[in-house]
Amino acid sequence: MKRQWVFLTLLLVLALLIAGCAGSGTTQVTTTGTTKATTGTTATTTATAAPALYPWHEPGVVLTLVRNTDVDITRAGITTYADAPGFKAWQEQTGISINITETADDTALKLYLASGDLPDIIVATRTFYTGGQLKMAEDGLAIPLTDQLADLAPDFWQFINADSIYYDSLKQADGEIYCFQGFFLKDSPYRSWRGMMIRQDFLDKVSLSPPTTIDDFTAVLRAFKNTLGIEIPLIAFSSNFPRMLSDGNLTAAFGLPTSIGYQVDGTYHFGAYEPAYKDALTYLNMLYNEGLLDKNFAVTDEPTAQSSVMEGKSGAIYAAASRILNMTSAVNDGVFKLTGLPPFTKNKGDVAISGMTDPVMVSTASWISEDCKNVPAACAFLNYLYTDEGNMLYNFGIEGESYTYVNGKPTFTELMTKNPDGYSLDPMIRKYGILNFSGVQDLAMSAQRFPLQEQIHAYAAWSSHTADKYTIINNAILAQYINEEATLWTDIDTYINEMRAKFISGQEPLSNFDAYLTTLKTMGMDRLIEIRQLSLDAARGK
Amino acid sequence: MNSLRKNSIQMDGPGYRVFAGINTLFLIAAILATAYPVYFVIIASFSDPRAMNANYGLMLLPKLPLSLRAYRIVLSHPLVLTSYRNTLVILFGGLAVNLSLTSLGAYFLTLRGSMWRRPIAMLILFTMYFSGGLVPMYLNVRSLGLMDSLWALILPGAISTYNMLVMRSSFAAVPDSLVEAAKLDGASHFRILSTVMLPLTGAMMAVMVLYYGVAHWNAWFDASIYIQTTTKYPLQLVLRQLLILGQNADFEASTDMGDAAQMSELIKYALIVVSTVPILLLYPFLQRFFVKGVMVGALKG
Amino acid sequence: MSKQILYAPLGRPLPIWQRVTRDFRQYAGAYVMLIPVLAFYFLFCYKPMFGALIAFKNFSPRQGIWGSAWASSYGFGHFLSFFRSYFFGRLLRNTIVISFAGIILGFPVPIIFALMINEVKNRTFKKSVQTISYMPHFISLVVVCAMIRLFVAEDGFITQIMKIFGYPGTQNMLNIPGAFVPIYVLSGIWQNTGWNCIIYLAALAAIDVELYEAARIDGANRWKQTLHVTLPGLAGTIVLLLILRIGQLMSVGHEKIILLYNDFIMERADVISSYVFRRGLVNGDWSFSTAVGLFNSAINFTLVVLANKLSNKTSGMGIW
Repeated sequence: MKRQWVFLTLLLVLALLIAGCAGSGTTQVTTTGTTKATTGTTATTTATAAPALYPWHEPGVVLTLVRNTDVDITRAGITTYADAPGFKAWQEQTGISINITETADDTALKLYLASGDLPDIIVATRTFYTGGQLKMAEDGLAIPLTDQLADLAPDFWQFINADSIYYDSLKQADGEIYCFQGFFLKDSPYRSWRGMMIRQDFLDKVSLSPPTTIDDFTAVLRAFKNTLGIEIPLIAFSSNFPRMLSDGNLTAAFGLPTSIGYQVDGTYHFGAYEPAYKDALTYLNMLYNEGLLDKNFAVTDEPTAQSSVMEGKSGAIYAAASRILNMTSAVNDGVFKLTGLPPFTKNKGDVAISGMTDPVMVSTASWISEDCKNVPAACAFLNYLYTDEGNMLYNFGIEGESYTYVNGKPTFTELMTKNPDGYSLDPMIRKYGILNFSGVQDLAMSAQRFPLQEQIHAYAAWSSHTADKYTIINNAILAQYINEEATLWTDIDTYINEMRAKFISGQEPLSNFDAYLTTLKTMGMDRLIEIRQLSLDAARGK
Repeated sequence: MNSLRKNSIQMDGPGYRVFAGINTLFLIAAILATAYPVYFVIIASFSDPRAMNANYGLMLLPKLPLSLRAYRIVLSHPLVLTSYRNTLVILFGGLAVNLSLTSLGAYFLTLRGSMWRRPIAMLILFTMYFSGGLVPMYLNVRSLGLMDSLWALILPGAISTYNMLVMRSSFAAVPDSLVEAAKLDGASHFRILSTVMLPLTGAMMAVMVLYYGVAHWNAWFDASIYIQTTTKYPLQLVLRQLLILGQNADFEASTDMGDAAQMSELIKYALIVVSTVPILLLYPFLQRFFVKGVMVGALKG
Repeated sequence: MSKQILYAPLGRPLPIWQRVTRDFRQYAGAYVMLIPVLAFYFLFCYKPMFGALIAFKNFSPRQGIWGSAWASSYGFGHFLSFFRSYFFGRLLRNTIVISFAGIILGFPVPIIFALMINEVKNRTFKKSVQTISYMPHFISLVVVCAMIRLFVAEDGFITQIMKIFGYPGTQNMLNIPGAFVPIYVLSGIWQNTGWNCIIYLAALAAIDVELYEAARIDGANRWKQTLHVTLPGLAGTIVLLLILRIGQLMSVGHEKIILLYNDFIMERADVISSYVFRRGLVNGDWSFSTAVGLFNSAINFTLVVLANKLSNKTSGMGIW
C-alpha cells in the first residue's frame, strides 16, 4: 500500500512538471531583436530640412512610453500622467502623441519590461536596472544614441557638450551614450541639499558666529552644553548620522573627501579604508564621550530628532534643506532660526575639499528601446525639453496658467503658490511642468520653491566645496564582476557600519583601528577596490 | 441550555470565583495594553499638526486644537474612493472563489478511502513550500491574459493551502456517524459537504472568511505588478504609495510648503484609520458564528 | 471514513486497473468536485514552478528563463556565494534563534488567552476583549515599531517599569544586542495574540456541548472539565498549527527586522531575509534571492515532514 501511493505521487509529479514545462514553453519570451533603429537615411533628411524640428513633420505619429506612476501628481488632483496639462502640452508642442503606460514601482516596471514587446520610450530612475545601462543595451531596452544625437536631438547634444562633466557623466564604459538625462546645471547650488544646520538663536545667545572650522564647531557645541545647558548639542536621525561621513561634510576637515568611494586623478580610494578615517572617528568619539553627540545616534528616528531641535534639547542637526522649512514653520515663534553651515575645514578661510553633492544628473533618465520603429520621432520628442521653449515647459509649465513674466522673470502664478484647492506647490509643478522627465532644472525655478531665506542661504553654504574633483561620475560596475562585487560589498558594508558605531561609542577602542583594517583585508577589501578601479578605468575610457 | 450552565457554575466553589476574578483582571490589563496603539493612532490622526511635530512622544490625549485636515486630505485624494470600491469588489469576488474552492479541496482531503488522496495531498503540501518565485508567477499571469484585470488579484491566490488544511481538520472533526447517516440516505459527496459538513463547522468557516477577507483587504503587492490603470488600484496600494511619498520628502531638492510636510505624520495615521476601520468591523460581525451547540439535536433528530 | 475493501474475495489484492475503476465509482462525485481545485494548483502553482530554475542561472528578464546563462559552479554559484558570506553563520543562527524563541514563547500564549476568554461569562465583556485584543494586528508595522522605539527609550514606558525591578536603564534598549530577541518576540506577542487566538476560539466553539454535560454529571469541576474535555478538543488544532509553525522556522520576515535593527545590534538582529533585502537593494538580483528562497524552503519542508512524522508516531495526529 505504501509503495503504491509513493509511486502514484511520483507519477503525478512527473506528469505535472512535463505539462508545466511544455505549457510554459509557449509563454517564453522571444526577444525581438530584428528591428534595429534606422539611422542613415532619416538622419540625412533632417539634416537637409531646415532645423525646425517642431511640430514634427510626420503627422499622426504615436509613440508608446512606460514609466512609474508619479504619486506626487495625485496630490494635485489628477490620477494619471495622461491627464497632466504639462504632459499634454509637451505632446501638442512637439506634434507627437504619446500612449503612456504607468507601472506602480520599479519592481513592476522591471517585470513589465521582462517580456512582450517593448514600448518605444522607457523613462525611469537612471539606475533602476540590474546590471546598469550596458545590460539594458544587451537586453534590448536601450539603443546607442551617440552617433545620432547631433542630427536627431541637436539641443540635447549641444547641452551635453557644453561641459565635459555632462558628457562624461553620461558616457558608458563602451563610450556610448544610451539615455536622455535630466540634469542640474553644473554650478547649481541645489545639488547640495543636505548638511549641518545650527540654531542661530542659540548662537546669538552665546555670542558666537556660525563655525566654519572643525575646532570652531567643537567650541560651539561645548558652549551649547556648558553655557546653555543643552542636553544633546548635536543630533541626527539614524539614517542621516552616517551621512555626516559619507557626504563628506565632516570628513573634509580631516583631509578625507568621503568615507565611501572617491577618486584622486583616476585612482580609486575607499574612505573607510584610509588612515584619515581614523581621525574622523576619533573626533566623533570625542564628541560622544563629552556628551556633545546624541548617545542614541543609531536609534533616533526623524520625528524624535526634529522635535529635539524644536524643543531646544538640541542645537545642531544634520538634515535636508526641506527640514528647515518644516521645523521653522512648526515652531513659528519668530525666534527659532536655522543656519546652514558649510562643510568643515581644518583652517579658517579654507574652502572645504568636499561636501554633500548630488551628481549633476537628476535621477530620471529616458531610453529608446530596440523595438522603437520611429527613432527620429522619439529623439525629437525627448529633445524638446532641451530647447528654450521646452525648458520653460519643463520647469515652469504653461505660460498664462502656471507662470507669467513678472519684470521679465518667469514667476509662478497664484494658481501654483496659493492654490484654491489646497494643493501644494511641488505636486503642482509636476502637474504643469514636466519635472519627472529629463530636462535641465532652471535655477530661477528652483529658487521659487523655497520661501525661506534661510533655505537659500543653506544651499549656498552647503555647496562651497570642491567635491567634483573627487566624485566618481559613473559608478557602474563592469558586468563580469557584478555578482562578485555584490557579495563582497554587502558583507564589507555591514562590517564597516557596525565598526563605525562601535568606534564612535567607544565599545571598540580606537587603538584597534589597525585590527579593523586587517579584518577588512581578510574580507576581501583589496579585491573590491580592484574591481571598482577596473570599472572606473573602463568608464573613463582607459 | 442556559439553566444547565448556571447549575455548573453553582457547583464550583469559591476557588473558582477567585480564579474568575484574576482572569478578569488579567484580561482587562490585556485590553488596555492592546488598545493603546489603536487609541494612539486615532488621537494622533485628529491632533493639531503643529503640536504633533513639535512634541513627539507618548501621548495620552490628542493635541489640541483638534484638526480634521489629515482626513480631508486623505479622503479628497482622487484615488481613495475608487480604490475603496475596487477593494470591495476584490473582497466579495475573492471570498466567493476562496470559500468554494477551499471547501471542495478540504472535503476531498478528508476522504481516507480514496486512493488518490495521499498523492494529491503530498502534491498540494509541496506547493506550500516550493514555488517558482516572482518572475515565473508574473510571466504566468501575463500569459493567461490577466494583466490589468482584477482577476489577477483573485485567481492566483484562490486557495491558501494553509487555510485548506485548517478547514480540513475541522471537517475531519465532524463525527463519522453523521456522515454515515447521510450516506445511508443516499447523499452524494456534494450533498454531504453542503448539508452535513458546512452547517456544522460554522465557526471555522467564519475564521476562513476572516483570514481570506483580511488578506484581500491588506493586499497591495500583486496589484502593484499586475495593474496598470491607477483607477483600478485597490485601497492598500494607493495608501502605501501616499505613505512612501511622505517619507521620500528627503530626496531630491523636494521642498513641500511647510504645511504638507507637517501633515505627513498625521496623514500616516489618518491613512491607517481609513484603511483599517472597515475591516475591524468584520470580526465583531463574525463573532455571532462562534457559538456552541449548533450540533445539538443533530444526532437525536 | 471506512476504508474501501479492495481485496477480491480470494484475499488477494485486485489488479490495479480494477482498483482504479472501483475507486472512481465510489468517489466519482468527489473527483468531479476536485477538478477546479486541481486546475488551480496546476495553473498557478505547478506551471510556474519550473521557474525556480533561475536560482541556478544568472537570470536576466529580457533573456527569459531558458535564455539566461547558467550560474557559475555548475549552477550553484548563487548558493555558494550565500554560504560563503562572511556573516553566513550569524545570519543562520539569528534566524533560527528568533524563530525558535517565537515558537516557544509565542505559540502557547494565544491558546492560553483563548482559554481565558472562554471562561468569561459576561457576553459583552467577552466580545469586547476579543474585538479589542485583535486590533493591533492591523496597525502597520511602521507605526508599531515607532511605538516600540518610544517604549524602550531611556525614558520609555517599558524601561520605567523595568527600573522598578532593578534594571539600570541608561540607554535605549534597542542599542543592546542581548535585548533584541526579547523585544522582537514580545512585541510580536503583544501585536498578534488577539488575532492568533481567534482560530482557537473557533475550535473551542466546535467542541460538543454534550461532552461538557457528561463531564459535569460525572462530577468534574471547571478545572477538570478543561483538562479532560477542552484540551483534548483543541488538541487536533494545536498539533496542526504547531506543525505548520515549525514549517515556518526559516521564514523570519524582513520588514520588522529592518525597521528595528541598527548598527549596534546587527550581531543579533541581522537575519537571512534582511541580508537578502540589503543585497537585493544593491543589485535587484532575482537569481540570488530565488536561490536563498529555495534553500529556506528546502529546510522548512524537511522540518514539516519530520514534524508530521514525529507527531503521527507519538500522538497519532498530523496534517492529514
